[in-house]
Amino acid sequence: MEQVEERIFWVWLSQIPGIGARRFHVLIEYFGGADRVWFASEEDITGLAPSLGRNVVNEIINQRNNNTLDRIKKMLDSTEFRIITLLDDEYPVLLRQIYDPPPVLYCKGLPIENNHPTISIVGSRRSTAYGRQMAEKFSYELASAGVTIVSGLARGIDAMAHYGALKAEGRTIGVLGCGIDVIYPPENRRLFSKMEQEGTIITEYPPGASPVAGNFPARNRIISGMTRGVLVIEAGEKSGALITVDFALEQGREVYALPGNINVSQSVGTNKLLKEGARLVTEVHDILEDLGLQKEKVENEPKSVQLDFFETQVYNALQEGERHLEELSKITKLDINRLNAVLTMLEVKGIVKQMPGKIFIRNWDA
Amino acid sequence: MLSRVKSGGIFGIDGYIVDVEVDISNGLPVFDIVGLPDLSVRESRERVRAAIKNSGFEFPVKRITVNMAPANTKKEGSAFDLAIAIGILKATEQIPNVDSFDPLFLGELSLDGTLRPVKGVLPMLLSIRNSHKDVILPYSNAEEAANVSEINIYPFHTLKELVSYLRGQYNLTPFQRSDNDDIGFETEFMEDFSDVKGQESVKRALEIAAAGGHNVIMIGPPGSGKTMLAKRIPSILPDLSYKEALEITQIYSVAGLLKEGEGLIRYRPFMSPHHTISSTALVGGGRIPVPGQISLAHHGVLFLDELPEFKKEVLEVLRQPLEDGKITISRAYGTATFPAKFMLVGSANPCNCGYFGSSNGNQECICTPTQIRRYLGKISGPLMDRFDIHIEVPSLSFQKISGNDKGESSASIRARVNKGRERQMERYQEEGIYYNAQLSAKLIRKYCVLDKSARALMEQAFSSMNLSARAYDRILKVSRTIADLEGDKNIQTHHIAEAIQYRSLDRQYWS
Repeated sequence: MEQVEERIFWVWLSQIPGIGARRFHVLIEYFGGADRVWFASEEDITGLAPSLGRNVVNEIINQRNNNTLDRIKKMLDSTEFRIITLLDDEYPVLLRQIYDPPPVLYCKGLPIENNHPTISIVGSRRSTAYGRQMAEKFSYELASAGVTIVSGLARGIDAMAHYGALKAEGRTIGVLGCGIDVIYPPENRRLFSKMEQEGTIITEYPPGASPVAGNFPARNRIISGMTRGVLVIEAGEKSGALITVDFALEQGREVYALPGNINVSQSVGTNKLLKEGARLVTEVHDILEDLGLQKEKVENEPKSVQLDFFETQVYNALQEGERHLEELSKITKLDINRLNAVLTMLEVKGIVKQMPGKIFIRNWDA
Repeated sequence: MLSRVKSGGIFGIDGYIVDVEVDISNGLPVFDIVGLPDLSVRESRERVRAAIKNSGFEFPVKRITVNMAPANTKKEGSAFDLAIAIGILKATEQIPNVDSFDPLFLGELSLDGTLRPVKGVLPMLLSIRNSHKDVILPYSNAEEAANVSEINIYPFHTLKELVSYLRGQYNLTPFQRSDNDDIGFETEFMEDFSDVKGQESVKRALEIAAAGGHNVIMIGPPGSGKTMLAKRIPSILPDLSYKEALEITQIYSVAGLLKEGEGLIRYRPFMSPHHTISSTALVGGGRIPVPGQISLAHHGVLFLDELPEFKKEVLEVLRQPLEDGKITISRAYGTATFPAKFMLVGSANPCNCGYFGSSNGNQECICTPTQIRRYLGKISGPLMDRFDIHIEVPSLSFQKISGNDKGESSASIRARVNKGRERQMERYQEEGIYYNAQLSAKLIRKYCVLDKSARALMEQAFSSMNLSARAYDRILKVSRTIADLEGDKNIQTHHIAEAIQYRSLDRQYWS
């Protein structure tokens, strides 16, 4: 019962504007508990004005009313989302250890399991086809081997990392930079609803918080903080993924990077990381080794699909990587009309993928 | 003295008879025109006066009143000059009144009495062909007018020549079209597909579009040849029929765009307005409605280059004519309807910078995902829905690979298109439509029946490729056309499979 009470005050204190994770912990230490802040005399709180600032002190005093408390009680009883505080067992183990762990996490989806290794996969929102494919591949294989995949539910690499883990029916956690009830970016709506069913979504921001730019670097500290290591798939020179890397180094986590084409701007960041000593990753085994895990054998076997003569011909033409429709026509000597039909069949069978610009590529997991 | 002469006016593409009455009485010399003449009609006073004088006739120094009936319709243009001049000459008895010969007079006069061509002769004669049988008009309009075989055409070069004919000084047989029997349509085009190397995938898609009358959107990086390809579409469209040619010529006649001596437009038009165009210029309008670009593209191609750059409200006005094949313009003076059955061809870069998906070593896309989404998002969903076929035009680097062999000529592509179109016309005889793009949802259920394996493929494709539901009917229509090109009565699995490849923009990565 007392535990429950204390959680209410934790949530209350964490939601006061102007109080972030650091100030929260300072206040808890100073007063000896969130409930003590609630019951403290006005003079005690006003005395903090020189360090916290006038506005924050006023906010604390103003927010000490029963309406606010009722609102928070309702939040704790909500069926839409759960609230996990630093006091709870479900709180991610590794995240506890960082310098400024978020006191409260809002959470949707499956419960967080703390007895599995975790890796975060991050990268540019503006990504190449190669990057997205690799994000999905590594995520799929890591998740198949039992690793929990953490990422930021953003466009590009993040989204593919989540999709990869979901495809492997593994565990995946998405960390938001906004309220739990805000879907951002909007085109990831489908991914969000899938994550709510088959994965987990968490955030330190209270419901309704909008995705302001300043939230995202702080969100990145949670992504790296929850995991044993960060795998950077693609990052431009000033990519947000590099902020995550900075946090990872600060928090003492491993940094992995995937080498990329030196001509492509999306690889500048990752190649630079490699130069500076990040661990080079070319296969999933490079990471699993560090985590003391074995790669599952199964997923490398080709799917058993029946291909007819033309389909085999086209599939073989894609052996060396991506090909444009016109190139394929040249190589296979098939007319465009037949080739188009064959490619649709291969796409439907799931062994060939189409990229923007009529470029075709083998689907890696086939 | 009073005289009465017939002439014709035009509103939209409908002609109507105008009775020109001239009264000459004693009084102060005045020349007045009543019956809602606009400025160009009122100015005809000066032309008529000079033309009569300079042709060697007498212009009466009396009170002249000209009335144009019906008096409640606004008259516009210079085509009444001739009727007014003849009316004056009749009223002053310089020309005898013959009751049995009451032709329509059309023509503009120059100061020396030469007859100049006027706009809208063909549509006017088409609307009055059942009630009148003789027309007198300038020689330059003769070829155009002769398309209406029910009417006797008497063309003249000058007023003087015409007056001596009316005085009975010589006989004339009605004008005959120079190429009466074999009309012959233009099949030699300036722009031919044989000039296009490679681009086989685009050509194939355009062939299907031409056969089924499908609207097309082409997406590709700058310099990939979208405009060049679009310009060649008319050269592979099905052969023009006489009826279609007549419809096109009517519109061009009203717009005053017929070249001198050009009796009939023998090619499918290709209109390519700039993206700064106003909605009025695009669909037509004005105080007295004139046809816009969409009507000038009737039975041809309307090419909108850089589609996302067009103003949104300009594109939205296209939706209704795309559905109805005509545009109705209502103005204070009345309502005009112009036909506008055209194939819409749009082109667009894939994103702001133009290189998204071009996968070219030197040029790489620098747009953010939001920018990419926003760029094509400028085209509204309902308009995007009108495009049956999406073509991704590859960048130059891929074109080079595809060899230097000369491409197939437009003539041989058109031969296949003609066959495909014939099959459609035969099938839809009773439905009042001509090609697959016109199929309504109900007719799709009737004519695009899938067998079991084709239906299974459709279902699989939709679930595995994240195609949007709106793609379903379009794929059916396009596969119907593919089957027609192949001469197949039923839609087969491989027709569906090919059609699915022409729906790029429905894929998840674009939206």
